[in-house]
Amino acid sequence: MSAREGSAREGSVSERSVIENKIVANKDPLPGDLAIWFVIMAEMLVFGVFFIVYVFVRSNNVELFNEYQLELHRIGGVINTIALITSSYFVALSIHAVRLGNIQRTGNMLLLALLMGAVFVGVKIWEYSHVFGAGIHLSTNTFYSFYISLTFFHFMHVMLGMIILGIIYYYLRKGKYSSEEHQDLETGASYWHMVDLLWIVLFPLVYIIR
Amino acid sequence: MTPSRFASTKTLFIIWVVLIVSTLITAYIGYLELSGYYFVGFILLMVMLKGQLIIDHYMGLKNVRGFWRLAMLGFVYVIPGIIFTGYYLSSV
Repeated sequence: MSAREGSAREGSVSERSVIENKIVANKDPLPGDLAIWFVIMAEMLVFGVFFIVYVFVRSNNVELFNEYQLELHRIGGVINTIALITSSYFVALSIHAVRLGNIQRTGNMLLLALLMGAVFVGVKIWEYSHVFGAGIHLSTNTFYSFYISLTFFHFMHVMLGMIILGIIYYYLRKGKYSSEEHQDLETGASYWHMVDLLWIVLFPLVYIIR
Repeated sequence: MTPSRFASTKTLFIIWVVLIVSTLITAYIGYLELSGYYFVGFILLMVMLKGQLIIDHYMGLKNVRGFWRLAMLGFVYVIPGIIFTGYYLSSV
């Protein structure tokens, strides 16, 4: 191999490694703390198993599930879906704002997200008050066992997510976060989006499809 | 942080509109009490679309490499897929 060929090959290898480095550099790191992604994965696996068991049990009780599903307050479910989607939107806007260093807007978006979370909680408590007020409980029938346990388990996650967002808002007001340093905010946002994602599967499964 | 991680406010708003409209379509199907695996399949396809939009743009995983994005997408594709299979098998 001539010196010229060798030099050309070296040039080609170096060019390729520059391109590969650029590809790697163009990929984003995982938002937030790595630990939250293990939590998210574990939560999604638990809910995933729960959903599959629901479908399996339903397949042996189709008429019962179809009959009692019609008793649920679907408008409440729709309002809650809109509330959670809108809340996720505000959280995404808060991340966008903090990246630009606009702390005031970040705080406002977090407050709006919390407000939408409160709408979800309010509607859910109203829905539960009707269900429990009608004398329905976990052992009423198989459908209600799933409805109450699935939605209440998710409701607990909404409450935890709101506490996390509240703490983040508190530290934001204390001046802890900036456009360069806001990993906690991304961590909390990732958890909140997971809560939204779970509801997006849960809502049609329990309230709509038959 | 790279600028590609999160979508622009305009993109976030368009995604919000898509999510709301698909929720209202789902709700309307529920209001009409339509049943059968065609409707189940359609609603679950919208769940997949909504899930992918949230994962890619709201969670900011669109340009994240490797396991985590695939695992998240796995949830929104595999679980609705299993749900559809269960509903399909119980309706035939």
